[in-house]
Amino acid sequence: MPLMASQQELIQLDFDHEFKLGGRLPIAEIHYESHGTLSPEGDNAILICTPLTMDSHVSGDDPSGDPKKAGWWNFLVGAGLAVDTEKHFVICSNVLGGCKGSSGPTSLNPETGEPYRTDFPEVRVEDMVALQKRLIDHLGVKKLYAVVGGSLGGMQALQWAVAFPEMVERCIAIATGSRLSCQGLAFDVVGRQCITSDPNWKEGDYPLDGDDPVGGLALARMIGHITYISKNIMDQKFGRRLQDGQKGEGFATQFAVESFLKYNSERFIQRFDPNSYLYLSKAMDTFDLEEGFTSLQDSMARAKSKFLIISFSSDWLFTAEDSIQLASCLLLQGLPVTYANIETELGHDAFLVDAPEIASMKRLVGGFLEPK
Amino acid sequence: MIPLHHRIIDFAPEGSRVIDLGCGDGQLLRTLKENKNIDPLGVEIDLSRLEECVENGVPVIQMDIDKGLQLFGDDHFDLAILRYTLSEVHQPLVVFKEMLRVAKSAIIVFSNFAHWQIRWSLLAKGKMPVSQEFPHEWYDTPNIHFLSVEDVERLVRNESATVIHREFHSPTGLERGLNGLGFYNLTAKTALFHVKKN
Repeated sequence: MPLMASQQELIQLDFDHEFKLGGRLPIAEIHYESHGTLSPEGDNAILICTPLTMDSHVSGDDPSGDPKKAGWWNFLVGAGLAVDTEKHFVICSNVLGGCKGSSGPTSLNPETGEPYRTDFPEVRVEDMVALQKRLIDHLGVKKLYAVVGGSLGGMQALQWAVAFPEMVERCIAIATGSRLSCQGLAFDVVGRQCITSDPNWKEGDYPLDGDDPVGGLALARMIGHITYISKNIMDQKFGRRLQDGQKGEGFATQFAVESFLKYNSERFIQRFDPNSYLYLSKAMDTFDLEEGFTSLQDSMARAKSKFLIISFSSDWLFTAEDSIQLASCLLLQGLPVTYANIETELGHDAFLVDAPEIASMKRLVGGFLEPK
Repeated sequence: MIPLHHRIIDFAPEGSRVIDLGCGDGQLLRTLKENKNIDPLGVEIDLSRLEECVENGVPVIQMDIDKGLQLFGDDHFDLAILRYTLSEVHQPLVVFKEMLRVAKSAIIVFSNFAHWQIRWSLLAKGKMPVSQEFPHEWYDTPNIHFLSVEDVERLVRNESATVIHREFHSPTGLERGLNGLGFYNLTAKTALFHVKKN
């Protein structure tokens, strides 16, 4: 294998796993991207976990040169970058329940020859991590040098740290928490209802190549997007401006912010499956590290990794307090924890933006992974 | 090397758990880790210093020590360190009490504002001193509390704690001699107190 190879692969794995809420898959498919080379000892691997709607293409420029098709963490993961693919074997897989190649509601059910749709077992973060573990074992990774994720990806990283403490040397959890706040849940509930109340949804039995509930999915995405950015950045970017050529009459698109949300959701519906969105959104909402324990402290007692926890000052989906609470529980365990709150107006999505103030995140991640 | 740093290294118990409040780039904790195999944790409010600390391989929490140390349980650490920060915090008493709550003992390093040169500057020139040690004008200084060796002695006594070691630093031999004779409130430029709860 050439050094520094980047590759994408779709593989089938025996997945002897009972889903948290019941159900099994006879065989699981997982689509992943990898960069760099695994060391002979199998100890230099870094797993990147994806946020809600991102896919496994975490790093690398598109051959077309289109920056929109570059890896979603291209500014963080790559040769010589904070997550250095020259030193580490970096893996990023598409999530279980998603629609980018790994098993999910759009996969074919071998028993019926039809897509699973809503017959796919309900997915929890625990199940996502179980499949990632299966992949890691398959690839010959003995110990994860680090597991890294933001938002829903951060939840997966935290789940890794408590489910497989001996395998995770370092855990980087960005813009995340042990569970979503009630306000976050409320927005997601409305988002899911946008899809399920679309007449084309048909209890999930819509045709995959025809009249699917894209209207509902677009609305869900718009609502989601509002939660990913801050009030101030919306004011700065759009304010109360009207879109070019609009007179401000009638009910069609007029405000700049309206046009922005619409443009984004239209792009989104081309790349995402409505049922998948329901599955992943529900997985995020139901994640709760405290579940089954008397306290978060009690739950985090399972962890043994070194932690880097990063929050963003204007993130109201996962606040600095959520991160501090996590850090506090880990500190009480006597674990080495670094916590930083980065000042930015970018909101929850800050970790996906290569903005000047996000250079801090790069430096923290790089320094944490490879101290001088 | 900042005066008296080597004494902090001497006082830190081998393999102990140490918290440095206002740890800056984490160099002291790194040195302690390398020399005394301590388990370090830094606290720093400034993000760019915190980044340096992470690059030094020292875990660090971004927080404002003025607001207390609620993140940490009682006696969680063996040693807490506070260097040149007591004069900079808004609530020195809160910080002092919290240090001794979270750690079994504490090392405080501070500049003695009762040093004779400062007294002289105030007396003779009627001006707040600006010197090598205190390069800031009064209107642009991080030091918002002015304290002397005697003042810290009183703080420790009033808070039912005991000074178990005192160390003083002065640049001249004469001053060092006078420090040894007990005139340190007049002749010490820098003081280190190792403090324990009663």
